[in-house]
Amino acid sequence: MSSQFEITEEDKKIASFAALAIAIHVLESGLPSPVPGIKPGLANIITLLVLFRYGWRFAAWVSLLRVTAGSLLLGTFMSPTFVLSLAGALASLLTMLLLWTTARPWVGLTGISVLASVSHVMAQLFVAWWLFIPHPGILVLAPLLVTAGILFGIFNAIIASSIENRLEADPE
Amino acid sequence: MNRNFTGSLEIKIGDWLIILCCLLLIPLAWVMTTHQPGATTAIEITADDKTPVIYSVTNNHSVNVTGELGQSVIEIRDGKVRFSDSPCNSKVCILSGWHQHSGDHIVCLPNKVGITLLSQNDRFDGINF
Amino acid sequence: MMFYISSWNTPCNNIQLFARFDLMRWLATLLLAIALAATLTACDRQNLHRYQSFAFGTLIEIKIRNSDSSLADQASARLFNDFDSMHKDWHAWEAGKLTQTSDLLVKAEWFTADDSVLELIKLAQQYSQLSNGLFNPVIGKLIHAWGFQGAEQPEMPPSQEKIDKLLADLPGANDIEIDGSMMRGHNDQISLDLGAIAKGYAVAAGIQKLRAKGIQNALINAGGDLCGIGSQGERNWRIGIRNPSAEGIMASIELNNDECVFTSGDYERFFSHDGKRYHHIIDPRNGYPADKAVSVTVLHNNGAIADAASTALFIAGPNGWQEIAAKMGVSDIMMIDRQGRIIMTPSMQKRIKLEASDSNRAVLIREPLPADFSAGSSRPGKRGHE
Repeated sequence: MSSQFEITEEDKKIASFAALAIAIHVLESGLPSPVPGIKPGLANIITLLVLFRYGWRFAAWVSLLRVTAGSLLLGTFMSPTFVLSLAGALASLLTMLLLWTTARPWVGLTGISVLASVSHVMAQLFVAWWLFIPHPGILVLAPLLVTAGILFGIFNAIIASSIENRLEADPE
Repeated sequence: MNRNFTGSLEIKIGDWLIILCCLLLIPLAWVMTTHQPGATTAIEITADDKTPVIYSVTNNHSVNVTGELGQSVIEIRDGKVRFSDSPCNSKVCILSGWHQHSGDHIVCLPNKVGITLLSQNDRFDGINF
Repeated sequence: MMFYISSWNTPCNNIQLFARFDLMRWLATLLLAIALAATLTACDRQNLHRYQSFAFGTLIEIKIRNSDSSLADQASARLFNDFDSMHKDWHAWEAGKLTQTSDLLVKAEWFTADDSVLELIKLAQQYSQLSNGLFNPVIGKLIHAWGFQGAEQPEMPPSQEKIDKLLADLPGANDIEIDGSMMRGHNDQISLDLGAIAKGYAVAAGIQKLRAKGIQNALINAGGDLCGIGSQGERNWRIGIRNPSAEGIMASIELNNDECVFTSGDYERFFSHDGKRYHHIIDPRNGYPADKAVSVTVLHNNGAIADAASTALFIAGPNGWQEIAAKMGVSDIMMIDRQGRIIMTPSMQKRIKLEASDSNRAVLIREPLPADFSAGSSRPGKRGHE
């Protein structure tokens, strides 16, 4: 990793945000879910925050660090849960990226968050169906998960926004 | 650091578009994954990664299926199907009761056992005999 | 995970502005395309029309996939009408064209055969010869003796004397002399019963009629025997083959563009007497219901051949079917013998998908005889042996 800036400073920022995201991820893993491994993705709040403050590369780092370190902490590394987490994270990252680089004047925090959340949850369902439970019955969860995705997307946006506003008040 | 985009919650036109599309996705997903006409004539039981096995629903009987956690018991009576026992914790599959509509699915996800209700219209376009 | 992080203090707007605009448009068209595709697959399901009616003494189901629903309605209605008149014309015992023809044949004088039966009788004669007489279209009297020519359920098998008497003068297809559209019979015991070929001929003709009307995708199922053209839409026409000895489906097969599946079995029409079961497929060699096989399924693109062949092969049984199959030109055959074993040709094995629930049957794969096999030349080692 070469950069024009002090590596430690930026790495610290990434690391601290990643740590926050990991903490949320670990806490969230305790929540129940209709399909083991499919989670609402509350850690996306951090990813959103980071995206808006520092750009998508930063967000990508934080997100992937969150998935990897989180799974190591939870002992699910390389397990189906890890694969699902990764799938969700990658999907939401990709949609965030897409919107961030192409649609910014028309799309705000809410839109990005909702699409990220929905794609997170749909990607997890799809990977669960494709790799782990090929039974078509699992696809029946789709409408439920999309709804949850929309709701959590809005929820995440609200939280991220309020955190952002509070951060605005503080110096960087 | 120069940011040209605040994190405010102001909902822009693109946001509305996204929310609209996602809302439309809900009924679309529902239609594409559940809509299957016809009376149930058979069930297909999937356990783990094994080949699905088909059972007729014309005779009353029980089927024991071994899944990841243990044995699930599937009961067929009067053309209806249900999980009558399963080694999972939540027993959601059992609580969902009797099913009879073709295209319906009952799944015990922890045990990785699934039942798909089939109709002739669904699996075969014609029966030869 | 190599990310290039050299530009933290510059605004994150390094992307070209024109690219952003194009991507938005691209995204919009992608979404639109997905929505369209979804609605189109739903639409295709709308184009599937299903009709049912009774004809040929059985329930007939016609499935047509066509965007013009009035064409489908009209074509199927017409087809049911045609089936009705064919059924009347070819009825083996109720007064009609076929019984009249039988009467004229018995008179042993030249007469002009009716158009409605000429083609069918010609084909029946041809297939009868190819099947070495196992498919016999003129043994109506024998079938009648067993009680299978009538609406009521027979109760008793005919006496051995009666059978012997019928066998003594048993007519064959060769007793009909055909010259153009003129016919003459040479056996006063001739009684036309085309039950083993009529349905196949009718269904095949029906399919061609639909095609002539511009319908490319259809499936006609006449009481379990069926022909299909085109496809169901999302996939080929998928046919389930019923288990002859138990409930449920034992195998499935997908039809290629223009194919028929016909099955002859001992469970279709039968009666029980003194604990023994007698079914309606009579072996003309001994006058009794054929007892070597439980069912025979034939896949062929000609419905009439498939129908006649399934009967002939059923009568032939596991030890004689290969010669008949070769002569009749059928190579996709599945037979279930009295032990419940499946005997299949390799080409049929490729097409058939056995259901997992039926997987405890033994499966024997038997090569059919080569197509150039000719009966009458005894070539040692060429005959199939079990």
